[in-house]
Amino acid sequence: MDDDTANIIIKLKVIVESTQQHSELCGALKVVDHPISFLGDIDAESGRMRDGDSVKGKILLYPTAVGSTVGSYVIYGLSRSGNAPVAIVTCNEDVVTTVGAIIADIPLYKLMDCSVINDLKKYNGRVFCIRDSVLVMKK
Amino acid sequence: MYLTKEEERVLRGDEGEVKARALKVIVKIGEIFGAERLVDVSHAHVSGISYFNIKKYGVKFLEDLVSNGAKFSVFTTANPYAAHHLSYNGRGFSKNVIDYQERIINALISMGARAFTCAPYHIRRPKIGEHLAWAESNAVLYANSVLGAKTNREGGPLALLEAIVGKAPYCGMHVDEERWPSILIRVPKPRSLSEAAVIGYLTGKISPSKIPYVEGLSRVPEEWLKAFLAGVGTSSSAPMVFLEGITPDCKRVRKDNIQERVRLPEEDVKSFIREHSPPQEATGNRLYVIGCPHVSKEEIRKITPHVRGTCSNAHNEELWIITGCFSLPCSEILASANGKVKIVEGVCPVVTRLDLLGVEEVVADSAKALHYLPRLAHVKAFIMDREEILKRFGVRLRG
Repeated sequence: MDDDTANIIIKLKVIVESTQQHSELCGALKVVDHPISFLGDIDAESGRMRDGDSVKGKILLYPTAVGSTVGSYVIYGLSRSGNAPVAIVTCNEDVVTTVGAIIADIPLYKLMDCSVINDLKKYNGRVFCIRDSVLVMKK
Repeated sequence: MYLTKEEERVLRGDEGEVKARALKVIVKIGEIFGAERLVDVSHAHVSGISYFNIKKYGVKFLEDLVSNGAKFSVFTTANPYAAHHLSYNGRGFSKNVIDYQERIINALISMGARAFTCAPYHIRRPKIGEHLAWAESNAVLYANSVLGAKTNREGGPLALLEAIVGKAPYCGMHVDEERWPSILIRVPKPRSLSEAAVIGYLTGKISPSKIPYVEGLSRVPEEWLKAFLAGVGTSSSAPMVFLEGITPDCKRVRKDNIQERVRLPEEDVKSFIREHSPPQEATGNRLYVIGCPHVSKEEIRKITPHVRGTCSNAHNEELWIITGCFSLPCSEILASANGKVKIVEGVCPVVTRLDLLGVEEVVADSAKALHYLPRLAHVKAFIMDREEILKRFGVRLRG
């Protein structure tokens, strides 16, 4: 199994680049397998999700964002309170996340094959890195 | 996406960091939705103004924009704010709520907001074919469906950034070919404003995302169309409705080509209203609300003289009649009778935590209010016709 995990390579497409230069972005993986409504699902002040996990410093991965467009302000709030994820990875290019990522200056990527979300759930908490639009497990 | 030389200059930061970042968002959203270029807008309308919705991080975002020198570059109006300065039965909001709400209002005014209303078409009526960047669903539907102006259903933050740049992606409702109905709905003729609102809400349920072509409303007053469209915007994501005999775009469309056809039975409207009518006696502290969407200034002029002399004997009942604030600074209360009937401008009770004032139930003449009040204001909600509500408080209208 360990051999398999070492070879995980997941292709991403850049939606929003960071304004800072990074050769790679690393953080523990936080996989959410259902659509997120930022307004209600994540507390901007503490960075905590409803399940109690914080998104701070993590690579946050979810299928799509739904609900109020105020959600963009929640993403901005995460950044202002110092609780922003290092990167956001999502399957759909939605308005709430895109607006939020740009105003909060959080890099945003599109997951090219959304079916891998379920496979990635078992690596929740493991450190992954994004380099050259590829998500890989940190060796 | 094709960008003009001027747009490229803005994107490079020649007109400052704030405008560059705002344009970056607009371009990115345009790319996602396949826009080939941007379009100049003449009027932006921003939503997400209530402190109860946008909270501290929304306040921070607006104040950061101000401190970075952001200014609206086109005529810009904003949605109403929470009724932070109002009280019910003498009970008001905490200083904390009032302060945050004031900071939001001040940030918007310093960027150049000209009015606070959910009916921006009352302060500036766009012309046919005019391009807009409006958030607030009832306003978007009214602009596209009644006025023949062109706007997508923008989110609050996006409309704010479009106000700063004065441009929107040229896609969706800005493009004639995209303005097309795909379902025909025959609706019963409303006999009152609240019936029109319910017919709108049920029309939206029938067509939660498609643009409908609606038969049966060609001879109803504009105030009722407003109520109808606010209802549609509540239960549907459609940005426009083709209203037979009203919508300028109907000239381009042949309804014979629409395949899907549905009829909304009159009985559905009646039973919906029966189900959501208030009990005769209030079961708790009751507030009546007229003005979702905001009542026009003409309507207010008809009501105000009668309110001054009103003597209501209703116990534990208040009536708020709401209109837009079109000249700054906004007044707290335009007119009041015995503290029971208040005419107020610039606020929206639906985006206000009315439970914190001790209000337990709200009776409104609006299907939109009926839907959102339990979710956002944390109160029970009922529907009743406008004239019935006014009569209850001894306000009779003429003309």
